[in-house]
Amino acid sequence: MDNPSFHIIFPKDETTDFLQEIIDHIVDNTDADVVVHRIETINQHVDFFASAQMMIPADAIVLFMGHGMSSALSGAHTSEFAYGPFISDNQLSLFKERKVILLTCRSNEFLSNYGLPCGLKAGIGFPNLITDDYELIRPDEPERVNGVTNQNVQDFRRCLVDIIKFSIEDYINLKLSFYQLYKRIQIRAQRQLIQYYNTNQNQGKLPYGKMLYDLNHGVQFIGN
Amino acid sequence: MVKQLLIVDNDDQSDAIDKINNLVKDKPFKINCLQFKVGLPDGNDVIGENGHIDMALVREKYEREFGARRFHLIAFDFQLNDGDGGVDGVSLIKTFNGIGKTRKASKILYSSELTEIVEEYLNDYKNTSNYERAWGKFKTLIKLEIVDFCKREDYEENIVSIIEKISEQEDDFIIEQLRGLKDLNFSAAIEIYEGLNLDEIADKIESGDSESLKFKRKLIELAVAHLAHLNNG
Repeated sequence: MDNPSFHIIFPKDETTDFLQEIIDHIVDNTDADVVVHRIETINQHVDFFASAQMMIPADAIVLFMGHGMSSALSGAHTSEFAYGPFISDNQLSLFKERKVILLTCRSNEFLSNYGLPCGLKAGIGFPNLITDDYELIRPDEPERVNGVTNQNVQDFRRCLVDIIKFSIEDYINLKLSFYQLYKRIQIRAQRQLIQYYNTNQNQGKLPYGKMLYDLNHGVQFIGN
Repeated sequence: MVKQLLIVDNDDQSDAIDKINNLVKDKPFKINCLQFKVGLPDGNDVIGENGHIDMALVREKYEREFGARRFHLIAFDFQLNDGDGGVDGVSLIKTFNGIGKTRKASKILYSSELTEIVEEYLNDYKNTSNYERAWGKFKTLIKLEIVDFCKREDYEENIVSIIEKISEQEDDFIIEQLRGLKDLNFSAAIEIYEGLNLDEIADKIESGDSESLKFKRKLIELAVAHLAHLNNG
């Protein structure tokens, strides 16, 4: 198998800039062909979707990194975008027959709702991820941020980046299947969970432990 | 492996238990053999005010003496000395099949061969002409999935032969591990049954608690995650 090409759609947004490390790691540690679509303006958005089907080879892996909800993906937080829907259910069909990793909040629900009807070959989605301090001030699910500190958010960012970058590195360098990539992400989340509670014993459930548990429990795979 | 055996009889079965323990001395497994006394004379504490075995008292006594314990095999005496129309081994098996903890256990009936039981049911019908009662008894007997019938005089050998063939149940090993470390707790990483000690978790599994399957999956998942070699993990 040739090294896969990665098309990384990464809308410009300072709250997700920390994910750049994933791209840097793939570029530095693998021979994969990486194309980054760093979209900032409405024009870039329109141009991208006009040519995405042609531009992205059928065997490429699409990695979307941004924000999301169960009905759409978003992410560009610029003067023009401000979290508007970026990829709706309709636009997801652009990735028909392709394998996609949607590194956003609630992309697991998004994939469950639209993934197979849109003809994706396979997809990896994630649950609600608390990766920004803003979510502690204005949470969409208040009970999920109970007791979560700013330090927890920073630790979770670090953990998420490590899980994804090392798992994609394994996927490329060890020539794993897409399903094995999903299991690699899951096992790394589980190991983080075990390690965290091993260093924080006899304190019952802890807010950061809950974040790791939700990540492990919520990462989803569809397709084959 | 220790196989769990329960003998249900109205007479004390201590001698039979000694014989069974002796029979398995050289076998590659051990038997933990207990008895549950139901009916006169030795199981008189389950006799109701009408002088017959009271099933509510039987259930209470079972819960008191064995609680959530699971058995691989339960051997029932057919004749429980409860008089005409009273409780016999068949009706007792029917009750035990309705109790979650004992439903899965294999069951044998001793002190009568199947032919003798059928003969007794037919005689009962001949004497009373009560079709409904006779047919009810046959129906029960057919549906109970009793693994064997044997005479009292050789039932110890039969028990050993049957229990030898009962393979380890899927939860046996997990429960054995949990019981052996019963005072410990799992870390909160496992989420399910958080706060319970390992003994209490073993009780949950034995009682077929609805969360127990989820717990076992999580246990295996985390054990694999913990033990697998992984670079940058």
